Amino acid sequence: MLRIEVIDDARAELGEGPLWDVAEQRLYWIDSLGAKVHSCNAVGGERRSWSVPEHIGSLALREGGGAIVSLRDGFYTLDFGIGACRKLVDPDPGKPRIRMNDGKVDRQGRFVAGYMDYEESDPLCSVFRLDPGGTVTGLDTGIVCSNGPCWSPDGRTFYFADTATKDIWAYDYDLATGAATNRRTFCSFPAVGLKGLPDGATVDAEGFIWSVSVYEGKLVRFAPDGRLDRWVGLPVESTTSLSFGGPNLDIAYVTSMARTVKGVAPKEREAGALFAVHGLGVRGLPEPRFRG
Amino acid sequence: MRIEVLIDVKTILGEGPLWDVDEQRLYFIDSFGCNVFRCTAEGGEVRAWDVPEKIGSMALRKQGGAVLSLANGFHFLDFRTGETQLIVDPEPDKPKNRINDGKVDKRGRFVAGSMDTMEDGPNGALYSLHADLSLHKLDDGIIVSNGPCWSPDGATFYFADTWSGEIWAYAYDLDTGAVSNRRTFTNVDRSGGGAADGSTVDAEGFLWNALVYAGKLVRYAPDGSVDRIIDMPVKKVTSVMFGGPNLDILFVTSMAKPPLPRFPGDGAQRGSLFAIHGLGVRGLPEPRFDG
Repeated sequence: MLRIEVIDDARAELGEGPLWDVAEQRLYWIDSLGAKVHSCNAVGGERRSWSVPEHIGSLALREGGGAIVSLRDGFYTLDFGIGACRKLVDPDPGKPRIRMNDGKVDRQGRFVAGYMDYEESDPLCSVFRLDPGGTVTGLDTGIVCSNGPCWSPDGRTFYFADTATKDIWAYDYDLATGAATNRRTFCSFPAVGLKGLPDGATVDAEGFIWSVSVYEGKLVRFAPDGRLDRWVGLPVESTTSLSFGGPNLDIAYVTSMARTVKGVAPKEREAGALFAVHGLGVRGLPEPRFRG
Repeated sequence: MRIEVLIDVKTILGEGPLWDVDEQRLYFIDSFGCNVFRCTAEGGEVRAWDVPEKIGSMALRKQGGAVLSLANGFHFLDFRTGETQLIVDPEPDKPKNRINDGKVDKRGRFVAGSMDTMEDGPNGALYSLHADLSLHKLDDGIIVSNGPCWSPDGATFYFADTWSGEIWAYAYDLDTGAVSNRRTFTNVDRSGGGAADGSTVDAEGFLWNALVYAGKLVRYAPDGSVDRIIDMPVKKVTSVMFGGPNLDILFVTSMAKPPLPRFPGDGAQRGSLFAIHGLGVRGLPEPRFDG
């Protein structure tokens, strides 16, 4: 049966990007504005943390060890041993109002991450694909706030949200080239009665898309045809992202934020915590590592 | 902090969780399913009793059995036979009313209020059933009675008309059971469609209220300010009560169906009985009815 628990009362300013790694059997997640990377085991124990030099939008593990991170001003590598970040490339230089935000690895091992406007008001941003060889390619542009990149189990459909539009989009995704085409609306949050905004997302083993409705505090599951399948309310409204993990890939790990938004501090003491949601009856898929 | 589904019971209108310290058991009801349920703190050993009418609340009696507020009046329930026995029907002339939420004061009186079943008109009233089984009207002009409970010293009575948008506080005379000086304790945040449902007061004197239709539990300080909020897996949370061996588990009821078509749908766990651990707060033992 459903069980929702705080496994790290972290009070993260902006918890994000939970990522379960099957090889290590550990969860990685970040505090975007706190500029931290955290990792822990399936029950929130054995925590390790690293500070990064800029605001961080997302993280992926590399096949050869260490991580690739999207920091404010570009893609970096992170060496867990010494905690050092090294800049690879700034895909969109010279724009101080934007920072890199959510990102994930596609089924072929390429890292896709997009930018967001710090003001969350203007479509100043693009989403980029970093190939294992280090080449950066723009996938889409005209975005206010990039969030929730993820792929269908066969990798041929790319899901992505501009949080400001309240929609999740679907694209055809070319497995060989990593090109995203034919963007269409996959689902609209207001159309199915959701009052929050689409934030982080993942695709489960049945090909259903899970998103969090941020500022509303719900986990939401959509069928591949875009129909709202179900939702589960969470203990805080400021839920930001999820990833399936644990030994059986059947625990949803959910991040949240403690920060004050528009002058209002959250009234929930658990805001900013890392949650584990058991009993959803659904499994996730192993998250690929970056091949570069 | 941990929120779990304790029993996936799918109550149509779960209500009235009541932890009994003597028995170390949780009682709760399904108002529309016409059931009384009992279970352990872990949701085990579930027992159910059918009652003959819609049920608004229940309390245990010192001498055994329970007192119920049914649609057609106050009744006793004998748990062994399952039989109910009418004590008094306060509103035989109001067939569109039913008696709703109720609780026992610190001196063993059972206080419960009625409601308009269409949740429309101020046709309800608040009653106090004394140990001698005499019935006393405490207030009236109420649409939907909900959330009666008392400060730890018993001298302040909290109560809500769900559709007033307020929770009220009254001065409560422990010796006579009379209420006076009704004032606004807090204005409920109705912005998300929520309304005040069942309440309890914790050992620190803070009031916990189920904000039904908004899916929130709100803890108010004794001055009426919002101290803390817990967002729940479902929108239609109905009532709260601390219990368990250390009185530190918050039990929460919910409804699987809206009572009227105008109310919204809900999440996948609707109608479940929930338990919340790790809040760092304890409740107070709930008194039994003296009659």
